[in-house]
Amino acid sequence: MSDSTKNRTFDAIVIGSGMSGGWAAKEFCEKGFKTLVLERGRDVKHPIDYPTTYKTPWEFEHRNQLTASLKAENPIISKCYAFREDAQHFFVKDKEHPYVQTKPFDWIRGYQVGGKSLMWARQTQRWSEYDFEGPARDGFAVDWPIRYKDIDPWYSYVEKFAGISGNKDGLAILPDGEFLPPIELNKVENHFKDFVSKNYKDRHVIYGRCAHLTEPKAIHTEQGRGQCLNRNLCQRGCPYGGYFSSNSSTLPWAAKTGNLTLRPHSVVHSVIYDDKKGKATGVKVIDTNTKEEIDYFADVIFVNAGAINTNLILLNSKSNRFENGLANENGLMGKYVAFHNYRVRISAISEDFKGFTTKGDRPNSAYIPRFRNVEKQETNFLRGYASGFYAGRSGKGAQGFGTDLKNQLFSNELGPWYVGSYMMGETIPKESNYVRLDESKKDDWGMPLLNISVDYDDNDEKMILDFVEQMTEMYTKVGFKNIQSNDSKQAPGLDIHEMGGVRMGNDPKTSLLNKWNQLHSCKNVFVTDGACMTSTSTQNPSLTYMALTARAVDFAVKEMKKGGLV
Amino acid sequence: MNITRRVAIRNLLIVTAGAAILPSCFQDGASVKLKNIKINRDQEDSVASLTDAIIPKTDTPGAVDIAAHLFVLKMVDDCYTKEEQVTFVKGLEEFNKLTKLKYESNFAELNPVQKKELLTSLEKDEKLPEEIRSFYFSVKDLTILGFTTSQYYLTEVKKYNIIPGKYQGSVPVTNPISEKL
Repeated sequence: MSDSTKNRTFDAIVIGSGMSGGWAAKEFCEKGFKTLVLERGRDVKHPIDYPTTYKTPWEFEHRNQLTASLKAENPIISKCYAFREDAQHFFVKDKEHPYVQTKPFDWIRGYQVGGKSLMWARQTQRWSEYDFEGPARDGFAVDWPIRYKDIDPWYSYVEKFAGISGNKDGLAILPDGEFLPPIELNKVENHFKDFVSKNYKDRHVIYGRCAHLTEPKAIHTEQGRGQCLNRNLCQRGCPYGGYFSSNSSTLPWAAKTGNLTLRPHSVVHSVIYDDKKGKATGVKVIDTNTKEEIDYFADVIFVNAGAINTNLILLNSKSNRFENGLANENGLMGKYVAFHNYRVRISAISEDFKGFTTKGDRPNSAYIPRFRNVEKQETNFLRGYASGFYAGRSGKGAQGFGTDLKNQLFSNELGPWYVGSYMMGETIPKESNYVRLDESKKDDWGMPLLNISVDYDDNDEKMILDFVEQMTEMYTKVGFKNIQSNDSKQAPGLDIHEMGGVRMGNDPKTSLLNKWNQLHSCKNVFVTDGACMTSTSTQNPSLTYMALTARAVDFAVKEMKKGGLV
Repeated sequence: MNITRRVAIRNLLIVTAGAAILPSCFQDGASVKLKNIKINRDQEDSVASLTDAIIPKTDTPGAVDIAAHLFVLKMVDDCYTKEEQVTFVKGLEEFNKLTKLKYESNFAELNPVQKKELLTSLEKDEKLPEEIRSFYFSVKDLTILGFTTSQYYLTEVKKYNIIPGKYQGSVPVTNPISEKL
């Protein structure tokens, strides 16, 4: 082997440095593997590369609003709730990475070290047995090749390290985890919680579970992370490491072992497959600064590029044996993409508890686990939805002009409590919801563009009606007033929970990955980001990606010690 | 509040509506650098007087003390679409015409009673031309935004804490009306 090749050879390559890539890096490095992490964007170092993190509202030129030209140039990313003056530098601008939309799809991306783990919404719930059994029971997609007991210890493993706050609620639909103390609910949220538990035996309002250090333990201070200070400015990057991100947690931990090589500005073109050896040997990278093409080699490769980009890389990894993408023998790669339905919000006011308000801030709110079709099919749609629930008080609002208006602006008089819920609906993966390569168009790095064709279906529409009906009923019964629902009709993608395309399953004829997240036909390549998901359930998905990643690395390393990934 | 402190605050605040608002070097143009809309000094004065009428200086600073008019113009210039900018400038021109027609002078020179009369009709009278009312509500909304996010307001009126402390979900409301400064 030449020196040059030697310098480009590692024990493991991880494509992507976000939520799951960071975990793969940490696990491999801790197990003594020389690991190369490839990131297509720039480096973002914790805590020095969070330029807006200490800024006060008046230090933002446009008071956190977007300029008209930024919006006009970026119609897609401007729809994202977190794309504001304070965090816009962490999001991919529309022009920077174009794609083709056969159907409207708002693809929200963060190309930098840490990926979207910097700006995520940090809500972390476990899946339950009901979720893993779902496709088999209800006859859609394919059966998950794993069950809750397979992932349970790995949830615990990642929760302890990441730091998850929550309350042990003892619910089968949303298993408890290794929790730091929960973040408090307020007067009205607790009132609703009590009301629901008294009036509905199968519905629960719980403290939101989130990746915030409410009470750091030794394992967290060892990472250099401190307590969450409830600033609720998380999307800017947290200088205290109060919430979990690759930047504050897994990546520096991996680096500490001395085994990590992090290479930003590296777009992965494809995974290199060696027909003779019958396995992948490395990856082809394009340096975004020099446009130079460089090959890197390793015995094992983890693809954690973010669900849709993982599909892109694998579809673009063509060889004599795999003409349609790496290990894509059944032609299903890129298909059965699904997401979460976040279209509808309910809002109302409570005229009670006027003598109370809240103080301080917090990074989450209450959560209502799925209650539809849990034990058996009982509605005219499959599966169900979880919901957020929040309440708060704000100023009364000011009318008129002159000293009268000014007095109102100076007044501390509060308006009534506002309350609201948003839906997080499970969508059913279908062959007709897909991503594929569009060979007629190339991006700046010579990669074919992705063509995305993903849409809602009748099941989603029925579920929306049920969500509005059920929430309206609960809001009405508890006595909330002025109840309104709003269907944003937002396109898929804006939920930022896109999943699938390289799904797990037992049968190589109908799935791409086995129960260890290993490509059925290329055993030294693993996919543990959103692309691997067989179904979506209703939970925010990141915690499950973390657990699947740690589990897969553990498996890969054990197999390699036994003699290799074949 | 004593005079020295008030002056000190005013000096401190004179440009705080936007730290990045740069004084323009063009004598005829607005005193803030604008890229998209053209505003002359008379028009700027009208906007300034209007912000002053919306949030007047009393024994506490008002819109003018935080240069709210410059913030208004900057936001229209940067954050409004082309169409919205055209509507704004047109509304401003019509607003000036209206005061000339009705009071034979610019808004800035009207007496308090006249100003109040005009603003009352802008707030309520839907018979006034739509573009004038739309201009007025743009100025009003941006003035309130600029004022309530200014350093003055967030340090002296409603204190902004970047580290707000532990969330408390059930705090008795004890002080419904704040002390005036």
